[in-house]
Amino acid sequence: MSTVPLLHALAVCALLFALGLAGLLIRRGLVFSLMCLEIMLNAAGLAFVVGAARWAEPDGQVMFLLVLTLAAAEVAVGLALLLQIHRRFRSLDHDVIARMKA
Amino acid sequence: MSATVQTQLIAGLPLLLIAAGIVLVMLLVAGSRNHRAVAQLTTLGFVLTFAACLLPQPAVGVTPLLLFDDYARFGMAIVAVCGALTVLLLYGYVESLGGYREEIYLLLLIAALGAMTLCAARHAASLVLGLETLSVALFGMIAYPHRHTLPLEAAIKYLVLSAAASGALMFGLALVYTATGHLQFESLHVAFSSLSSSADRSLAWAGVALVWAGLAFKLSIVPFHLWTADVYHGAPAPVAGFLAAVSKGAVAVLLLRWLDAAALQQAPALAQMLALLAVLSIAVGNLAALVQNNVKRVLAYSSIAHFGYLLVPFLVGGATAREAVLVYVASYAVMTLGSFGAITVLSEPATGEDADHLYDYRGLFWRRPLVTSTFTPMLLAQAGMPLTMGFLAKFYVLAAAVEQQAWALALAVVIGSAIGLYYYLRLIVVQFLPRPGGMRREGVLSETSLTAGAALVVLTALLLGFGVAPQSLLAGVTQALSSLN
Repeated sequence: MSTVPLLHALAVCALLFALGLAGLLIRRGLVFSLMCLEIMLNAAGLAFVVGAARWAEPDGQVMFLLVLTLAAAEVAVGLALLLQIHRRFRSLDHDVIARMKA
Repeated sequence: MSATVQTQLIAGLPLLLIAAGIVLVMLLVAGSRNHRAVAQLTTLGFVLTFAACLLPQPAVGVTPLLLFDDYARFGMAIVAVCGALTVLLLYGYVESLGGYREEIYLLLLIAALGAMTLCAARHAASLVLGLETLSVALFGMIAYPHRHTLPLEAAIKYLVLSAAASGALMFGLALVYTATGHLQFESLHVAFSSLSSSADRSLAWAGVALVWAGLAFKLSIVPFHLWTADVYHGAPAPVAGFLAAVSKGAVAVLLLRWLDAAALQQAPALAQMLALLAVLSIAVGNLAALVQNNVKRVLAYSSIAHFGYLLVPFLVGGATAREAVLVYVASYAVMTLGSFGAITVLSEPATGEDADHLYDYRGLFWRRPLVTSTFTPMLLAQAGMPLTMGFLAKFYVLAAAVEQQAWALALAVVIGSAIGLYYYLRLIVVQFLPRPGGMRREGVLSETSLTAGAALVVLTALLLGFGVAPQSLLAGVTQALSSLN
């Protein structure tokens, strides 16, 4: 069985990260923002797995579990905030919520 | 129990005390809701933690993740003091907020636990854990007055941007790990210099650049500063003070342990980039603060400028520079908590907005002379007035820059401070201007106004005390730094 070259694996990670970031910048809905954040965090997790595969160590995989847990915590708080925001603003659109102006 | 486990437990006492405090507060809230008892217990937790940080001990590593040396204890002591003072400020604020009051102390303790973990971190895992514990608790604290729209808007903005920054940070850490094979900070230092292939080296430096980007967000360095004004504006005033003092301070402490000048010298391009960002932060922060009419936004932009100044010693390096970072973190914590403390005392949270318009401050000297007499020194200190901690901090930054002959950076600090004087003085002068129809004494003596007043008095005493006689602070800084390397 042939292994995946390091560069290819890292390219996938970078692509995922860029996709998440682009989605975060383009989409106007807050639910999509949270999904894009999840993609970015998973890209970081995948990169840790790539590192672990390169050095044949479990450390990177442990870091992946950590990233997964933290992403879940962040999204849980995010969803709770979304519920409150929907109750106050009756919308989840960036432009409706952004009222503070310099 | 073996001797090593015992020393490790004693060394980890600050973290254990805070963790025990979290569990106790949670049980207390579950049993009976008593705002005063919860606030007292939280304060006791912070005071005990502070005392535990003062115990003289050797440097003890606890697992590969945490290192409790004098440096970590210095950072944790600052966090504990800020936590205790924030409780005093929060007490009156959440008392008049209505709704459930007790959980914010839980969030405060969790945030402090995260910040303390950052101070003691020596591994990528503890860095990520500490940073996220701190941030996730802060989301809750910012959105705590959830019946009002401004805190919710601030919290979701902070959450989305902070999570994106964390993503960049973790991706950077993963790249560094892929290139070097190490996650622990000490072994990373060695691994960086011994990287053989150029592909690995560029991978590692791309990772370090991403890590800097993630941490620069937390420090609100330009161009990652866009959240600062909105979050400070929307967050409840005591929470904004805690966020500014502790979240930024702990990240600066972590950066000094890991990514200081020694690590930067191997990548001159990154160092030059960061120098440019420092100058931009000073310029953008000071210039944007000039045109604000909202006091919280002025403080937000001034904090962007402050962390531009703080970046200077990171870049120039040297012994004075390290002292400058710690002195600046301590001084900034006092100044910013004091400024937001004054806003807290003046605010009526039930209305949904804090007292943050410039007009609210007109004639303040006649209406609330005690608040003015603490707010004015805080603002003067931020401008760098002698006999305050603010002067000490600026002096150290300038001394560090001049010592290493970084004239451009020193010039940026001087010009920035000169511009800063204008908007700080504007905030001070407005408090002495007459206000039509409103020159009578306001404010009533009550339990809640006394606790917040006590916090302001302590902060002013610290500000002036360390400003006039800084020896004990400097001795602490020197001792903390002696354990680094």
